[in-house]
Amino acid sequence: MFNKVFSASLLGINGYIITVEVDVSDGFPKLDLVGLPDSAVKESAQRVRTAIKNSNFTFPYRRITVNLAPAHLRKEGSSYDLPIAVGILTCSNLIPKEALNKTLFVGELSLNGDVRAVHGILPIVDKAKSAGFRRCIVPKANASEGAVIKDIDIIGIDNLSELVQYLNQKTTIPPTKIDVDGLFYDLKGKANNTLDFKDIKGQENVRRALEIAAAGMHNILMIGPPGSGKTMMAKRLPTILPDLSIDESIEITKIYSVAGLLNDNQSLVTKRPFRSPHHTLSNAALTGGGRVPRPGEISLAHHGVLFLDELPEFKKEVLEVMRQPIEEGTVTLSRVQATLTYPCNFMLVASMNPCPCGFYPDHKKCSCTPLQIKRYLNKISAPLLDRLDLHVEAASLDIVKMEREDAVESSAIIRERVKNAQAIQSERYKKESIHFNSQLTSSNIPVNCPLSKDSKALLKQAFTHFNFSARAYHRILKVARTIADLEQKTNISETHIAEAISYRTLDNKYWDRTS
Amino acid sequence: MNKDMYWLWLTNIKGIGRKKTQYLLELYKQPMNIWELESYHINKLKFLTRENKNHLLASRDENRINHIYSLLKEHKITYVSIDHPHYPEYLKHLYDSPYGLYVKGKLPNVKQPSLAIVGARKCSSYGRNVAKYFGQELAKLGFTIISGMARGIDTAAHQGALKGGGKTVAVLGSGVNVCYPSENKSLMEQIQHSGAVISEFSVNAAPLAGHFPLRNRIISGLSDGVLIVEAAEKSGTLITTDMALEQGKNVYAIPGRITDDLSKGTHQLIQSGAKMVTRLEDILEDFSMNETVHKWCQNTIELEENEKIVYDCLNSDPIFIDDIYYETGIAMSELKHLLLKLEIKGLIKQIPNKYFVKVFCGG
Repeated sequence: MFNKVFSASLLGINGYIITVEVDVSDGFPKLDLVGLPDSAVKESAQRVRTAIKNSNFTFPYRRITVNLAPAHLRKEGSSYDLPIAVGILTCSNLIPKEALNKTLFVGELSLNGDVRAVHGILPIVDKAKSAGFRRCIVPKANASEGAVIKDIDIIGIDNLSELVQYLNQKTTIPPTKIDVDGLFYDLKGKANNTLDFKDIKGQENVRRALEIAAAGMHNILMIGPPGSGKTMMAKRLPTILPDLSIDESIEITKIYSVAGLLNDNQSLVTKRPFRSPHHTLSNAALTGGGRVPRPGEISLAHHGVLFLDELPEFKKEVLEVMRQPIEEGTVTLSRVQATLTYPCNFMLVASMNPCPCGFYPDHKKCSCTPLQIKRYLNKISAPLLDRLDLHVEAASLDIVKMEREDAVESSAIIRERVKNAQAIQSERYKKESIHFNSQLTSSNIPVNCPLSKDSKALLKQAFTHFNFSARAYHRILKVARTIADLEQKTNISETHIAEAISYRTLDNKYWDRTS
Repeated sequence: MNKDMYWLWLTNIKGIGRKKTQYLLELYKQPMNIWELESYHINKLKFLTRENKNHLLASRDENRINHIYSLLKEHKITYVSIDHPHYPEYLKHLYDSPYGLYVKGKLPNVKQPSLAIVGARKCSSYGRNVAKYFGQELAKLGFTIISGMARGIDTAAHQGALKGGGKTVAVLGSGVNVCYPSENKSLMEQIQHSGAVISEFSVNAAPLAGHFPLRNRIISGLSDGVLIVEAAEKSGTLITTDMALEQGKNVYAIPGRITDDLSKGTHQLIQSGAKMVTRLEDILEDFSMNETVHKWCQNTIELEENEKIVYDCLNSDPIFIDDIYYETGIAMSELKHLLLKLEIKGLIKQIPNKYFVKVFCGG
């Protein structure tokens, strides 16, 4: 007796349909599992047998062969328990064959027959829908995550006997439905309340730079003494970024689903991610890794903010591996088992102290020698520095500034301006493959960054005066473009150029104490 | 072998330092005489240890000395012994004149007035500004600027002198081929071209802490006066001052604010009689150069109204950009534009961490 059950596995953030073929025939009682299973999949035989028995069904004491096709792909994880059990029960005529039509099964079994949650439901359901399936049987805890995909029935089940009853049409389980739009906006309303730019006292300079960075999705480096509020400000950055669109949200949810970072019954990630890994992290943790690579911090920060606090403390090679993904917005990981591509379109926010002790140039507190400072700053390579469009200095806060009762703009007001600036950009770049000013390249800068005569003259003067490099030229124009967009101006004026130049301080002699 | 070579030999014997050399010279007057001493004579000397004597005897090898001498030439290092015609006259007046100097570049003309500008290594931007200004203006007027090429004030003084197109001499506490601090490598090369880098320590000598007080006596010795820009209360700079006073040189000091640690040393000097310098003329009048037409760098550049507001808000004390913003009330983006314009005009300077200072121009 032979039956076919459909299931799915993951390749990166994409689902991949797996056919589970089950054959029960006469012979020595034994369960063989073939089709390149890893050890978690091999163990599924034990779980399936006990779960069937404990759900008061008879486990057929005959020769059972299970094949996971396609056989060349390595199968990982415990999500094949449910399809294997369903296959065996169908062979025992406990489930009608027709019930398996256009139905996809995913789930882990516990020994008493309960169905446990698994990772990656969203990409799997997405794939099932595009492959023409009508119904997905998933663990109840994952049902709301899968229900984000419309036009496919998501049936969340608690245990195996419930499933058998359902498939025999003795009970009905209504498909899980969620109002994605409603939920999306509802959740979003709740999400942003806790942090606000209002909380930050002083720091006008950094505040302004963060607004520009958010408007053009520029990477930014904050330099300042300890306790100046760099981390605090970085944490509030997502609150001034425009709200996630539903597509972006689904993309992020897929990554989180694969990484197993979604909570039970959480259907969507509605908040822009803010990832702040510790500086001891490894290459693999940053870019993604493992035998079959899983998403790393840069992918988990997709459409959000990756915050690297104390940048020079990170291992040099860890910072260097980030260079290519920053440019491309995706990271491709090649391993023996698989070559996967994860999206990683993030905004990099880094912070550092101006010197090892953190107080330079305050001579009363700083005791670092110029050589120490140089060494500290040199930990950040020029190519990486080049990818940080804005460098901004935070001042140490004194009591006077903290007690200042100036009216401070809230995140909502800033976000409105950022939104407008981004709207201008997407209008301008609708015919090109980019979305933000930060993605401009040397080839399309001249067209998109028109300069007035005066601003050209200023740029030239500044270049001779400050000895800027050629690469700084493009960075300055990109940032100036964003500043102009924030003011809703078509042309880049002198003021815009001047401000953009002020964010390139690490490029030149300012940091050389001897000059 | 010429006289210089004998001196070169005598000052380069392992284990025999300044003191023992002095004893030897008291006994035998000339290094040549010591070279020609019979070995039993040497063995009788009580102030030398057995090892010293062995080294002394073994080092008397004409080929070796010739070789060293030619190596120096190859590296464009001139050895100027105390008997050399180019040996600076001023240094002969010291009670502990160096027996020889290693020179890279050209020793300055004795007829030119010379001024040492020294100060703290960890200086403020005010100090650096002032040192640079005086270095530059005095060099323009024909002064030779002497300093120690250390970090901070010394470096600024040399840079100023070079910018003013004048001569400058760096006296090192290491061998003349050793660049310390290493970040001054390009500065050292420029000094060699326009003036000289000199040292009394042998080639390859490391910059040991003990060398610096010795080098300070040469700095003050070579100059007509010493200008102290910034110094903490107990500092190496004050050692230079003491030596200058012993040598009878003029001591000038730049005042600062009474709360400033880096000005405590200079204020102390002023209290005990050093000449307080607030203008270039304060130095010039002592060199009977007060008639020299000195063009003040006047603020003739026309400033726009807003530029003036920002400019007036700054002084020689670094101010953070946020504070300028609070003071002037000019929007951040506009403010940055104004600051950039002022900086390009050379009126202000940005120092690390977005602090701004006025450039000192004698006014």
